Amino acid sequence: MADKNRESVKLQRIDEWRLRIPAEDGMNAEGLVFADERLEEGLRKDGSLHQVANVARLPGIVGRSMAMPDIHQGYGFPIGGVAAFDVEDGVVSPGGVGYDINCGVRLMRTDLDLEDLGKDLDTLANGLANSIPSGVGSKRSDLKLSARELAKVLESGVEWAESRGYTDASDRERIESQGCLQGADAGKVSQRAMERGRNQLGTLGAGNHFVEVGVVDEVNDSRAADLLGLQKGGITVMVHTGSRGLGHQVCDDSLKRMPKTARRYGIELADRQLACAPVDSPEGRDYLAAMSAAANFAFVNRQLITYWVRETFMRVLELSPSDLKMNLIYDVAHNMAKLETHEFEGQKRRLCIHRKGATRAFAPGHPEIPGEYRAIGQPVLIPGDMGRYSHMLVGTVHAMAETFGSTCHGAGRLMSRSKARKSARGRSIARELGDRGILVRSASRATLAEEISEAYKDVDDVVRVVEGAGLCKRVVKLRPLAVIKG
Amino acid sequence: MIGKHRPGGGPAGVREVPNVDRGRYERTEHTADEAFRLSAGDLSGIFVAGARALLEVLTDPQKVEPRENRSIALAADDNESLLVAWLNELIYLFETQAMLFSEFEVNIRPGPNLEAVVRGEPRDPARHPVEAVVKAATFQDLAIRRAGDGWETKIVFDV
Repeated sequence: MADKNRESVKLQRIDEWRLRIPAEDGMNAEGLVFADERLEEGLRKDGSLHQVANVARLPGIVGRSMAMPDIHQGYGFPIGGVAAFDVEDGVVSPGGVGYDINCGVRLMRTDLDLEDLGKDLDTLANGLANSIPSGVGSKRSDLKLSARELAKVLESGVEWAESRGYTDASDRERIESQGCLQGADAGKVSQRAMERGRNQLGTLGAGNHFVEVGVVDEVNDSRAADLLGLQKGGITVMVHTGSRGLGHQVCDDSLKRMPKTARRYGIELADRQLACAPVDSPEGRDYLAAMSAAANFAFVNRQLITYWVRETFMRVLELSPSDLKMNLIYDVAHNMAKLETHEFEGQKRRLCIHRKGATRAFAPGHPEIPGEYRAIGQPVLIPGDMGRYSHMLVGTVHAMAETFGSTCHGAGRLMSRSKARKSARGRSIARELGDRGILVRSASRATLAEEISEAYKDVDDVVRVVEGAGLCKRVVKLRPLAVIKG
Repeated sequence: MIGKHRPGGGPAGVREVPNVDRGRYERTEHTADEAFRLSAGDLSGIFVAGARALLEVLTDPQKVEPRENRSIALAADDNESLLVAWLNELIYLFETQAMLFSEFEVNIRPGPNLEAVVRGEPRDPARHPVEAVVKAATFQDLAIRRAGDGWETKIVFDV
């Protein structure tokens, strides 16, 4: 195993947007990396290509081991990795989901424009920073959950939030899987995970998590934009966060057990971090049940933060809900394993799709897409770094055929956190952003330094590749106005 | 073998063991996470070094006073799993009890098993600004090996 990881990975360009890793050395499938020549340069800077190849060595893989153009090295699977496994003879791997189960992002639109915000943007940013717990150890004192209540959150997802009055009428149907993965079992979540999660529901976390007030800067598809409720100059809000300590612990708990499990089922691992279990096994089902519970925690997390965002906007700007019309457009996960039915080589197959740092991107007409968007395809939100833009796109028929309805999730890191901190030394990142018209509120100077734009690929480069490859289509481009970070 | 105990201090009844290897840690490059190279003269020193590296990620180690003791006992199938379990235990204590630890007495026995006494204090936001959410210690690049007269490994924290 170690020898394979030391050799250079063979890479063959297929076309302008795609590279192939030939199936050799125990790989059960080819690797497919979405990258153009500009992004290809950076591919060998870390071990991510080896990770794509190692994933292809897992049993029961259907189709190719794929990586999106925001690829970088992860845990077992690369970040940006997509791989599907047959539910009968394939595996589920916690490394193919990640520690931050259901880290995801949502976009809300409003009836406001820049003029409506006026001089209030500063006050709004302060209000959001105060009302949304961010940074280590922060929490809302008005949200206290008993263990029993937390279990309901884990098993009912956003339905719980709805019953407590934290949602608007159409929110739930505009969340992937309606904000609740069926099959979630709080009983499969350890006591330790429950303890970590209990005080963290409704918190942003730190690192690259954020709430961002933005504006629609460019409309690429006016029909789709209209259907989504977006217009040029319209004010938007993005929320990016995940399952916090609860999800991290669920992943850690499963990783303790999985290597032995894999051995017991005779699964040879090219990388210990690909520890896995057959999907159709008690251990595989237990992981999926716990992962689903953590995913539901994350959906509720983003919903609670949305509730406080709405509350803050109405209070600071003195608006009623009908003036504000802060409607959720869509909420997508980008660290998840989903059981889905797809057509593959002319047959319907039931698959366990791992998307790690990758987003679901279903085609127009898919029944899982909310009715009002079904004609245009599933909304896909791709956030860029805090100093640059983000994109709203929609899924395509081609994505269903080539990537099981998957696309990229963000810009992808280029630079290590320590290099970013060095690069930021002596600079006021907040002031630099302010000079470009972006207000930032952050609990941590170090986090700001680590999240500078230079630390990330340009999301335009990433989106160009997935659109060029036909996986999704751009609808609007968003520009940040105010960013709240942990 | 026991990690360093603060000379001249510590609660009554705790054995003092002077001049024992606390291990060394050095940050290395990693695109998305926090990675370190750990080295030590003995195996327990690797565990001490890992704990010190974790504290470095969380906050300024110099500001964490060894005021309270906790005992930790763990078992695992191999040294790597034990190191990950040890570091994740410290992460758990930080997240759920807001405890930061700066001094570590670690004893590794065949099994392998770990017994440790750790010393630290509850986080004070004024003295202990914490910049990073550490999700977990991982198995990435983790291989605890003999190196020369001592031991070494890499460790990556998912942040």
